[in-house]
Amino acid sequence: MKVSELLVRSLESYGVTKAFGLIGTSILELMDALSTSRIRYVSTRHEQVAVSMADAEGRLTGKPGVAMVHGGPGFLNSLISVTNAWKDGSPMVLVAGAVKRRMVGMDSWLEVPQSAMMSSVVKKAWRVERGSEAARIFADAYSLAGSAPYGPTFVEVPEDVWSLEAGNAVIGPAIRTVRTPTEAEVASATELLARARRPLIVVGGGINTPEGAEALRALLSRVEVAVVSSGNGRGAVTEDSPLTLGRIGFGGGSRVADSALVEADAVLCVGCGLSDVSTYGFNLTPKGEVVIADLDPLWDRKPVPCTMHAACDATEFVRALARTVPPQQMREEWRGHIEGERKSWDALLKEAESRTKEGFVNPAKFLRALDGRLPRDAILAVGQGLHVLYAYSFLKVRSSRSFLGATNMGSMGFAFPAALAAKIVFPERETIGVMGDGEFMMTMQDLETAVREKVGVKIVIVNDNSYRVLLMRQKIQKMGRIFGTTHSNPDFARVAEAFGTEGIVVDNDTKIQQGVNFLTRKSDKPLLVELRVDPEDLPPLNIQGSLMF
Amino acid sequence: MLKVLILSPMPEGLIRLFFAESMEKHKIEADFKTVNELDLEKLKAELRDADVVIGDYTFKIPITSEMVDAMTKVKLIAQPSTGYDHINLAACRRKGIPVSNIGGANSVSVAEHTLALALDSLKRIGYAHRRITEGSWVQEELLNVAAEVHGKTWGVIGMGRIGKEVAARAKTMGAKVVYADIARLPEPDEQKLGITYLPLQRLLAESDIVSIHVPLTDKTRGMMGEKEFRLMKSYAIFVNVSRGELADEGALARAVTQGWIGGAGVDVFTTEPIAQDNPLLAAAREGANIVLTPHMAGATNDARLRIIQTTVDNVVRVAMGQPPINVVNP
Repeated sequence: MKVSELLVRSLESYGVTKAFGLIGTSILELMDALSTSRIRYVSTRHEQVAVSMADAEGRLTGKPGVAMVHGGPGFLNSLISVTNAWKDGSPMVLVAGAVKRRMVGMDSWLEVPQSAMMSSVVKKAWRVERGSEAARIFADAYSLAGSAPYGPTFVEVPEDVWSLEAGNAVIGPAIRTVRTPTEAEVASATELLARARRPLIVVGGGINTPEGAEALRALLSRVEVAVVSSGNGRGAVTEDSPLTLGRIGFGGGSRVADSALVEADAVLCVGCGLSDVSTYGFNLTPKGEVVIADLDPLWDRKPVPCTMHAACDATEFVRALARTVPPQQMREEWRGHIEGERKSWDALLKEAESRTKEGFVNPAKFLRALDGRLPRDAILAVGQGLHVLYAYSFLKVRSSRSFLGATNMGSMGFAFPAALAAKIVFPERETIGVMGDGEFMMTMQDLETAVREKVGVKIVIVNDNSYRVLLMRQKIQKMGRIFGTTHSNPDFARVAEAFGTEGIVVDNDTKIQQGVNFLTRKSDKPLLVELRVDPEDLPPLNIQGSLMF
Repeated sequence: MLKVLILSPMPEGLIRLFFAESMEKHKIEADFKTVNELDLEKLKAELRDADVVIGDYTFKIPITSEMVDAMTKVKLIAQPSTGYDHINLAACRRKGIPVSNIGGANSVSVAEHTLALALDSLKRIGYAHRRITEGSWVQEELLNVAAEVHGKTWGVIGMGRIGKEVAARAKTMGAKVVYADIARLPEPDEQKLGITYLPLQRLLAESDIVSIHVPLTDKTRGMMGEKEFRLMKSYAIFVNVSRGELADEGALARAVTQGWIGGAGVDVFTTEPIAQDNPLLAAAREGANIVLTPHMAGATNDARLRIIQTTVDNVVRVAMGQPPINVVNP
């Protein structure tokens, strides 16, 4: 087999069923080999979209998503999306073409130092130089991406190498398992929980799986402990449980969750550590003891003291705890603190939903209404910008692996590709992408992909005609000097029509029901709702924390 | 429903978040609208049916007599700052409209800045920093001039909220605090605060540090002139964090450069941003012991959220039919 054929056969043997990409001369051979495969190839209109789609597949399945891009420009367009996957610990393999071997080092057309550029945002980068090494590299790249702690890997293949003979032997992947917790680690956490008066569990991406959720359910049926989540941990414990207090941290944290993290006397982090994002720049950190079961290899660099860090399987850790922790009820003093915070936070949510303004729809009210109509396994994808605050506060995540956000990179342009991929991976599940106008304008060309591929993804655009995070900051911090933050937009409903699908504009509260009905109907095409919202609106957030970040 | 017009560049949503808990607790409602622009006709149209006006903290939109005349039902003008001299108080009084400021919301910030300026002048920190970054080790020079607050007399002009915060801090540093004001405090209050009343001229003559904390009115404008600075000790420090117009800037610059007084710390100026021909600037550039900061005393990150909450709390009082607090034109 040629190298190109070997890659396709290898991916098939690993169980890969989809690949996302954008063709170029340097991967023409690969595409030709893929054309006869049972792998569904989704051709996109921008590499940022293709790679974020692969990232999203990885997050949703726990198995590496696969993306394929052209060398040089295609590679460079991928960088934001690879970095999202890196920062959020998502399993993904990116394959890029590269300049022919004889052109290397001559400042040739398309040539950039791809592996060197990529190596700081992937677990490992490989370059295939010979046919004989291809099978090993493909297997290693897939295995490393799919072994926890997850992350992206990168393989570049020079244009002329695709055609080299690579033999017929596909090498199977070897996904490494993570060690189970030691008895001492479990005993230490058990003891901490048993003596805590104000305990708190923080759930992260590392336990946001069906198995992790089941283990947490078992633990929480024994002990009545409040739970908060990191951005990537949303849904590990269903957010309609009375024990869940919401997300911690910048860009969507609830004040209830943030306050609990600071005030708890024992904080058990499972499947995550504590980051700059989750603690507003390491400013709102726990006063209490911290115990962590997580695989973050950079944990030691984080300025949060912890009494124990177990680099083990978080799910096994929780399973073991569920067997050893004595049953306990929440203490009334701690319940009182939490309920006090919840009451004042709920007042903010209620007020936000009560707002009305001529010519605009209230996005809080719209999302609350939508939330009431979504099935428990609905998938929610968000991007970056002020709109995520509405999505955090008014759309609940009720099952594991159902929330997709560019949490730790903060890049715009993730929501639409993530939602698009989610609907392709799980066509039977309702999938909602909530994004800002600024963000959608960075990726909207792929409405064409969604229409062509018959993907019934649902898109909510929170349109305030501005980069509102910065608009708000200019008003609050720059004496009201507005500069570079306002713009106009096309009519997004007509944009949807131009791409061959449907969209509607919701610009006042009387149209909310119509918008929700439209969005929740079955469709084999993307459906788009544009919410025209007041740029003066500010959804609930932890203002004090955000000003520290 | 109470209609609240916001003249500051504050997002309506932000004000609402500060309003939310009171709204829930007291079952009151208000509609907030930000109109941060200078078009007088538009402003007048909005003012016509406003119940409460939140003033402009950037001071770019004055509240003129003509604007006050356009108000038909305003029950309060709530200014989200300490200063309110851009509001025509006489016109408001004529119409019976109370004007409030933020009371003590940023008193601590202003008081701390007062101490910082005094300490900088006394210990020449700004000067030392500049010299050391220029490569000079001025240890010996400063041995002869740096001084302590401890054991000194601190004269506070204006014993309002900020004056009291300054007094409390000066006392913990071991200073004796004397004060002057248009009205003397009741004796028990003086005793509680541990401060002594002096007529202004005696305060100026006896104090080692003089800081001024009074609003700018027709009576206080220019109250510190050549005559007053000449009354002060030759090594005394003068601190102004209130309003530039309270002091004659030319006289103050001469006072420091000619050695009538020892130094000055100034945060506020007659023209802001400071005019390049401001005599204080020229004197500071020539090496006089004058420390200048850009009207920042009250504007700390900590005070910002308190200022908004204090302003909104007054809106809440009006919504509940209660009289506003922190009224500056009773």
